[in-house]
Amino acid sequence: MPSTAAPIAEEDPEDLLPDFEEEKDTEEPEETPEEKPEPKPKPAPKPPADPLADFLNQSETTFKSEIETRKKQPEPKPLPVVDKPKTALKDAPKPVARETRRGAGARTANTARIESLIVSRIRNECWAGVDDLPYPETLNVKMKLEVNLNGTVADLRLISPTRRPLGNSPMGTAVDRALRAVNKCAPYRLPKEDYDQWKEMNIYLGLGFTKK
Amino acid sequence: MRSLMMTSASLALFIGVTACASAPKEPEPVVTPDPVVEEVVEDVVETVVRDDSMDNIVTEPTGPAKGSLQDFQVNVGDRVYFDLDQYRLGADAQDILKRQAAWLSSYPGVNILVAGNCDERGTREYNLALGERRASIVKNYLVSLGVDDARIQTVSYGKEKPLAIGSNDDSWAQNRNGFTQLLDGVVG
Amino acid sequence: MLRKLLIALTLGLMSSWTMAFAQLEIVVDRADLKPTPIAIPDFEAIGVDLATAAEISSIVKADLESTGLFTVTDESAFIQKDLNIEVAPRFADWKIIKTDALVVGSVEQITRDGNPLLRGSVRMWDVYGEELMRFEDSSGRQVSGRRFTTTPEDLRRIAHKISDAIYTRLTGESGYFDTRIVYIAENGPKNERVKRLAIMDADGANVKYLTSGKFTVLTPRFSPEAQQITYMSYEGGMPRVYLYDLRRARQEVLGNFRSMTFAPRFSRDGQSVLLTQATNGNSDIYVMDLQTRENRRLTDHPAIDTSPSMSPDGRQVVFNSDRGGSPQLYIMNTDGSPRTCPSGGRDVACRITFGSGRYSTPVWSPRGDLIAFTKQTRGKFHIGVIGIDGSGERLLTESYLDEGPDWSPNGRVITFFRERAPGASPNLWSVDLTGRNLRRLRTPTDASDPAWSPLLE
Repeated sequence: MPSTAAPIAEEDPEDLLPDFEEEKDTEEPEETPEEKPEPKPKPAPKPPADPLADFLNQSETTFKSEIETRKKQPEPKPLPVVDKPKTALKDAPKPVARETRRGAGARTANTARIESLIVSRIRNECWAGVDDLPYPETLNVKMKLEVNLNGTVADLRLISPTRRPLGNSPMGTAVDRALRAVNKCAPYRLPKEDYDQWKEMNIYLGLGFTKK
Repeated sequence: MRSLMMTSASLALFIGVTACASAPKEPEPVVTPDPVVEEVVEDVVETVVRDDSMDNIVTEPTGPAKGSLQDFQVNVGDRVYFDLDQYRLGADAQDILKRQAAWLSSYPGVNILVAGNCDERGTREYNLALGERRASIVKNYLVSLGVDDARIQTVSYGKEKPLAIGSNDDSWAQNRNGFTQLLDGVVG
Repeated sequence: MLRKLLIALTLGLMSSWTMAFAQLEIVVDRADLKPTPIAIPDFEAIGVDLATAAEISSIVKADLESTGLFTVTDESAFIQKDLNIEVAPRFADWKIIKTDALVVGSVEQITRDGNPLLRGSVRMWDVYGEELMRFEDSSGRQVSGRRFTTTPEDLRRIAHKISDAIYTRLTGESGYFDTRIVYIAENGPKNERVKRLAIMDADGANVKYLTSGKFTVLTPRFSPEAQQITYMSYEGGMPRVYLYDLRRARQEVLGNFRSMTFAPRFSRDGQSVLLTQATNGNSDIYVMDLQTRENRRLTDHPAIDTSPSMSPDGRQVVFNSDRGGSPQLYIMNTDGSPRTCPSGGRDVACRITFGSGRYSTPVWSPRGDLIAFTKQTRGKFHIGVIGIDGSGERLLTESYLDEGPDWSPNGRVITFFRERAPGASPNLWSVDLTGRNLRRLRTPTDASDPAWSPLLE
């Protein structure tokens, strides 16, 4: 799978935009055997069956130096995927209860899963964080992202701070890194049926944003 | 006693010009039989050391003449040791310094330089301060025993001039010292 | 059960139709620092040979890679070869090889007043943002590129200036490549060490020896302002603090103290030198004004007080004292007024280290928020940093002997010296403020007491 052929595959998002019929398959294994890690156990292994997994895996298509870097910092790539929905399900073992609590179905398990996919990809692949800058806890960047149906960036705006401070400053660097991370993570190849859920997102990068 | 003999060897090298007795090779059985301290030469007392060629340190196995450097080293003792991080004088050290004071009162023409030294398990600057403190403690004790303080100079070498070059407790213990060097007016 | 869930999910999906404006909330609080992938194709040669241009770009690559903050993209992966500094690159060609930033540069020979000069120019592109990354030039203006001109002998400095510009643009902090390091070059057996004052570029090039080795010299420190070094020398027998003027290659004794002086360090404005004078067994700290040559005593305590370092604003001094029984770090106001101590109470000097072990050689960060130190505990030595209120102590290194930290002028990197194991010779090392990127600085001889210069003009 790796190296040479890869970059070209990357170019063409269309051939990876597949069958969302498979989607339910991916929900199942996650739900039943809690212990099992990933959709691996699937009997019929259609290689890139899961578009969400593709979204994660597209970064496999790199050349060696990047692969090396990655080796050095072992990424728990699939983990967050399993992790988050799992806890979500634990919270609410009964779907009904979940419905009532959340109301109106605004957030499905799928939403949570999409969220955690994007989070883990930004964290692991695209964003370098701000830990190395002075007073990192003050460097929080909020952005609004609009995505096209094919996953490319339609619009990316700074919400807070409202603009990049001119000149060299830690906040300037934090803004640069945040915007770059979001651009770098594109295209966001996500289930087209759910487009309404992901065509707009607020993205918060920084130590000051604690996770809900 | 061991270290005493060793230091006599090194001092013989050090004060090449005035050295008279004792084969430098003599104290072989010592733990670290190195001709130490030679380096001190340059920096300390240029006046004394100047051009001491090694040829001057001839093997001349006569006994220590009274009032000689050798006499001071062997019969009095030129080095007192300190405990780890300490600058207090123990009973042994006080005995040696009492002998030094007595010797100095017999030879009033002799001036001395007391060097304070530290082991390598400290940082450079702190050790310079600690070495200075050790040298001053020695000086003050000698003065309290009646030696004119105008005759005593002090210097700190911190951890820069180790006597023993090992990196172990024995070497470190040897390197924590106050070292009395005779400057001028030495007999023979 | 399973079926129920599926139904619920489907319902959820359907109801999302009605929630047309449902938004994802993506929250990421932290990420591991990742080196930024950067592509630096060989610079274009204009009126100079290819090797000269390539040498400059390879120094830039080495500089940036040495920080641990960048990975330089392997040029065998490059797709676009026809780069021109005046033309936007084909971003897709660079995205595909996962490069965040693309540096395009040129080196040309020009003639000014009949003298040949080298000129290096760079632009940098944000590959994913598909735009030019504007720089801030030395006078604070936003510019589309940087351009440095100097004599051909200073080729390496052009490269370092370019590296500093790129580093600053990508990290938001000033660089530290166009700097020098002064240190003590050592050779000879342990009990007969020859110690010379030496200076080199921060990347180890251009080593020069400033003293002959006839006298032992120790603890050099750079003036943050001028081309001056202060250090301690045994010249003349008594250890004393000296000033060395690099331009005139001359040294002078600093002040007429009656007894031993040592542990010098410039104030951050370069106008004064803090030092220690030891008299009759007691070391205390003084500050000497370099203009008036008058000195003022800062500490007056029977314990050892030494290794002073002033805060960037000049108002406080951190130093090493054993007044509490063992060497620890203390902070005082430069004017000697009492202060409220982090550990409670008011005092002229507040102790800030309470961990187990001995602390020494404190050095205030140029950023002002941290103090680097040497710590000795359980038979090992460490370089560490601690907040000025004594909080957040972090040990960055460990070995048989790690000693004498000094900061890069941007406060990002710490250099120090290390004796790896008992009996090992000292060498120079550096480590990132976060404890990452520990690396050795190569020197032709053994080396200790490194100190960083400010960014050169």
